[in-house]
Amino acid sequence: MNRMPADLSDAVAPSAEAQPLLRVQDLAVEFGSGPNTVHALRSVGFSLAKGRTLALLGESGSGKSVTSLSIMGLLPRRSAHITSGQVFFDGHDIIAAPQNYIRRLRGSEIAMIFQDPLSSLNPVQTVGHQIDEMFRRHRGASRRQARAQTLELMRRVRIPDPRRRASSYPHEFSGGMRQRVMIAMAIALEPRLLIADEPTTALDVTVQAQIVELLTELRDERGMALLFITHDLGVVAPLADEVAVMYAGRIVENGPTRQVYDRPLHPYTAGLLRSLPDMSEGRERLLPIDGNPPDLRAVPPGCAFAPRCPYAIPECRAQIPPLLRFGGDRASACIRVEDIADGLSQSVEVPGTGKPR
Amino acid sequence: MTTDLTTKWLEVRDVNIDYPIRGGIFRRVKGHVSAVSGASFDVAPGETLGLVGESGCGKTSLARAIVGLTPTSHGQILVEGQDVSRGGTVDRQIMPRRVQMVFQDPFSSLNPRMTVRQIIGRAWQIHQDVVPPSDREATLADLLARVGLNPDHADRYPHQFSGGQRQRIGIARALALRPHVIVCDEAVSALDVSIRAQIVNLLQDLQVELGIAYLFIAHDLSIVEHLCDRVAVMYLGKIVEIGNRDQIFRSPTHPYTQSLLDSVPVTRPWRVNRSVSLANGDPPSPANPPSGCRFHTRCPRARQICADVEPPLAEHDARLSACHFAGPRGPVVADTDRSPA
Repeated sequence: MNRMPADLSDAVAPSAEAQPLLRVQDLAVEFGSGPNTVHALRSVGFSLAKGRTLALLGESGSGKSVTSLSIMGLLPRRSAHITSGQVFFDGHDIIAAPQNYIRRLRGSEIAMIFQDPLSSLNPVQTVGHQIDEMFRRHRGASRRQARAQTLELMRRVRIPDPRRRASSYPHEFSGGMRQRVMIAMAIALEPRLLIADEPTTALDVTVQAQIVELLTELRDERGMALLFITHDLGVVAPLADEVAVMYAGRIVENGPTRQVYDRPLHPYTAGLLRSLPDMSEGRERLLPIDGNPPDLRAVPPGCAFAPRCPYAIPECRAQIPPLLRFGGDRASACIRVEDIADGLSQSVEVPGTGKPR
Repeated sequence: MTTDLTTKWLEVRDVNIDYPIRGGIFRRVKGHVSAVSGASFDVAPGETLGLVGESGCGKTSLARAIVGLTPTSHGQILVEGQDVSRGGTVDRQIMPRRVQMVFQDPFSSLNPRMTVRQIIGRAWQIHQDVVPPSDREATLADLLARVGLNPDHADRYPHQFSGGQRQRIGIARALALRPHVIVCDEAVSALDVSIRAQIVNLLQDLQVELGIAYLFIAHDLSIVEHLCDRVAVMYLGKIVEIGNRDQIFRSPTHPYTQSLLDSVPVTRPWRVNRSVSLANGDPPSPANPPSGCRFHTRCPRARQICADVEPPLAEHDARLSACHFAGPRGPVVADTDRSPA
């Protein structure tokens, strides 16, 4: 297979468009300074084309939320430093641009929904008023016009009885209905990119499925690009065109969802998939990943996953493995990928020269 | 552990749990929220009973009542045949020796000012006769090794451990009094995927080595299917279906169980062929549950009788199911559709 350094700038949309809607390049973010500096992101790059869905997958501390906050320009200004990299939205670098440039994009061009809708809504204003504001502030709509659009939008996100619910306060809504309100506000101005940061994590499983269904429909009908951030491999499986798997602040694998899940090309991805109980398979014992994720103040040298990796060899610890193109639209940051690829696809552990379990 | 196999280790009989609603300037009791109503189940020696349901269904209230952290307002809790729930609160002298709990959040459930030695040893100070003082040091080392922690770390504080290791400390603490039953309340839910599998395997190993029974409370159905022998499904304070694992997961008869299973995300949806029937809308508030069958407002099978008459938990297809139309998934009988008004 041909391997070449993957810039990944067109990994997500091989042919769709010359210029992706969103392109993140070599992004690095640190928190704090001195010996306690947290290296939250280390050279993260990916791109996302119009109307497509990319899932950023990772466990806590992997850097997926920091990535989304960087794109939105919402990193805490005092503690966080973007030490390198660019974020291009529609061809313009929004990190280099003045603050009010990204402020104008937020809401109208790029919108975001969060895990906890209650803390993102104003508790002392009615839900209808908060959605109205989107149209009144950004579009200069009159009270009456705004309310008409609000009701239409509430109906679209399937909030029952919108006329009555518009005059309710956020605490009077259930978790699932609140998330629908957040989605209504996010799509109000027809953004071209919607960032969904763990939007279903706090919800009950029956409601979770409804929200994923709704997001899928909205994406398809409005042609929005969707950046879906989650730790749950199952939630994004039916929704994402591509996945990028993050570990300790780097993308370790990237590719079309089905290919990545069926034939992972990084031992971390393979380990995640194996550690899940799969209702369709039925296995006596789970196969966990040994050890714990690294402390981001002292990331191990070389491949950050090497201390937990059953396939690690001394070379893995020598230098940070670059994310390399592997085949057509796949990329992996494992130097041993050619040797171990077959073993990674097995649902049981068969390390070639790994340490015994 | 010597046990009479005919005695259930834990029995919950017709338990109600109500919380007062207070209001006004004197905080008078204005009414009650019924968190659990008429729950009955038992846990046999060495088995794992899963208790599943969505938030607000009463599963955590039940767990807390069983270990004596919440009073019951009706019914009995029996431990090895002995009623420990007289007066609504379980006997805190007997209960902790038989039934222990592992909590969801490994950060808030350990005292940050106590070392691991103090956290685990606390139980032995209260229940003096379980482990004689001369044996405590060796028992502590043994416990830590058993849960996969380094015994040399006994004098460390919780913040020096990762989330997964903290949950191991919580499990060691639960084992300290050599209980027969451990109630795991969402014990792996807060952990990262790669760590969760480690803890699930640990729980299974402990069961094999020590013959412990678990009441495993979770909303993650794939873990429940993996770990449990029998499963009880709760909805708004009621048990709606209870049966062995294969009955619940392969041939559920209650429409709520069916929609719960259908909602679970599948890692590789392209490999399975499944029909999906999602419940309508959101779970109603437990403070004001619907009349009749509590699930009828979201149920694809609901008819008039469901709104009027509460279905009893009755035998159906060799397990218990509380539905007037219990049965396999099939064509939707009622004329409700999935798009809400």
